[in-house]
Amino acid sequence: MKNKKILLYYLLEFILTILIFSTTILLIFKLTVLNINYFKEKLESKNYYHELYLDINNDFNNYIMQSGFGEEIVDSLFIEDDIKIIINNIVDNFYQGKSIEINTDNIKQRLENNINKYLESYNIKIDNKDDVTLFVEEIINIYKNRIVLNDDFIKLSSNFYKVTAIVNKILTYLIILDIVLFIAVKLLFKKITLTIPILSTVLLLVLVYFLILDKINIQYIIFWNSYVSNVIKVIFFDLLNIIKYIIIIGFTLEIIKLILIYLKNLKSSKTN
Amino acid sequence: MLQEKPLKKMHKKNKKGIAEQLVISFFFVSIIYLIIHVAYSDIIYNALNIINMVTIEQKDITYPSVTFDDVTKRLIDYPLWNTEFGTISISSVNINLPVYQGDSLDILKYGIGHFSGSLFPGEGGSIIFAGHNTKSFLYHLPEVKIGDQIIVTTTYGKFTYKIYETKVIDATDNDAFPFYKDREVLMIYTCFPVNTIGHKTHRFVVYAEKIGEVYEK
Repeated sequence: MKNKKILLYYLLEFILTILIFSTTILLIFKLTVLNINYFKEKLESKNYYHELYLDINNDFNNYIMQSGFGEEIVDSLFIEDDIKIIINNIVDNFYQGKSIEINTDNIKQRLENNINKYLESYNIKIDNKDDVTLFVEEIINIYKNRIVLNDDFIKLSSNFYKVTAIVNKILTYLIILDIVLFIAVKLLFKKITLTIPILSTVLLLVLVYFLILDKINIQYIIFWNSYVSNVIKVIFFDLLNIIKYIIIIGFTLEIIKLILIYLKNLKSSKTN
Repeated sequence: MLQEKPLKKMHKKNKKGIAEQLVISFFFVSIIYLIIHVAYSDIIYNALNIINMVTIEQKDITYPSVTFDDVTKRLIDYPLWNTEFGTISISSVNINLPVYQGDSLDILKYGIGHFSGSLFPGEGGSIIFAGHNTKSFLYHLPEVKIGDQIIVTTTYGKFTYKIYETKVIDATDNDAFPFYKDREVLMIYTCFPVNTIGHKTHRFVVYAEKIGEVYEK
């Protein structure tokens, strides 16, 4: 009977270990990748808006070369703050599962005005208006494509929102289960130490940490372009850092706790 | 002396308790690791593979200069992307420009771009060059005549081509650039028409066959 009770105790502690480890992992994701403010902060810290602004202008200038227009045609079509507002809107919609649309009416209007001014100032007459219409469309496409990177990212939006919602739900259930199980073990066995679940979680995180370090060359990630890659890299490094801090805090707390228990037992045995 | 015995016992008990907790923790970790390994190893390793597909180690490589193998008729050590490896000259229309490896719009700002999917001069097949239609680049290309010569001077040899055809094609017409394996044909194109404003829906292509070659020793 006693053996069965011990077995049940350790079985519940094992389940608690799994629950605490899962809670920790999901919590790390919730605080980083799935956190809209965190993501915006990373975009800002890695100069994403500025790099994108320069990239779009560079693409415009590259395309203009074959068109016969001068570079002044794309002057003041947009400013860096416009890019920041658009990207932040896209990120908001992406995290909220809303459809992503980029309004290009203003930029189109400004471009057409610039073209008219250019044609007037150089006294140029257009033989085929379709060429200019196609030119405007191409500039707008360059602008749109650079901002959204790829249409597939837009399609990802609703799925990403679903994943975020599921993670939030699971996390809530996990936290409730953690507490319920902790109380249940305490009531059933009149004793419980969280040492084993916490120590096991910390050891598992050590494994995860070294798996990421060993299997992924984070500093060499190249995805899409340099500034997108920089954001991905910084997110990976942040994940590693968070895991590292949890490991350090977890170990330190457990060591302090063990020392305190040791000293307490020592003291009580001395007084006896 | 009397108190020492229970103290030692207590020390032992404490140590045993700590060791027990550590052993059980390691045991739990091993079991969880095994469960994850058996149930999710495919998913984890697929995810890691996907991430590693976009992980490219960049080393500082110093490439030796481009040389030509006379036996295989292929280049040894191809020019790096975005590096100048020669010049193109069409004296009949006063074109004399540097040639770069790659034909992205970033490269075309500086000269003529070599399409990386085509062969190199001397390799005995289709060579595709592209350039902008501005006055500093290929504005005068449509003025070439059949029989005019094109000279491509590279770091490994000098190649002469004779124009046998010119064509205006739709920008999406890829069939206008056939892949030859048995004859060396240089195809150079630019956006067309050159003197209009706006998006260019056509390309002016010049086809020239090799008539001479001199290799650098």
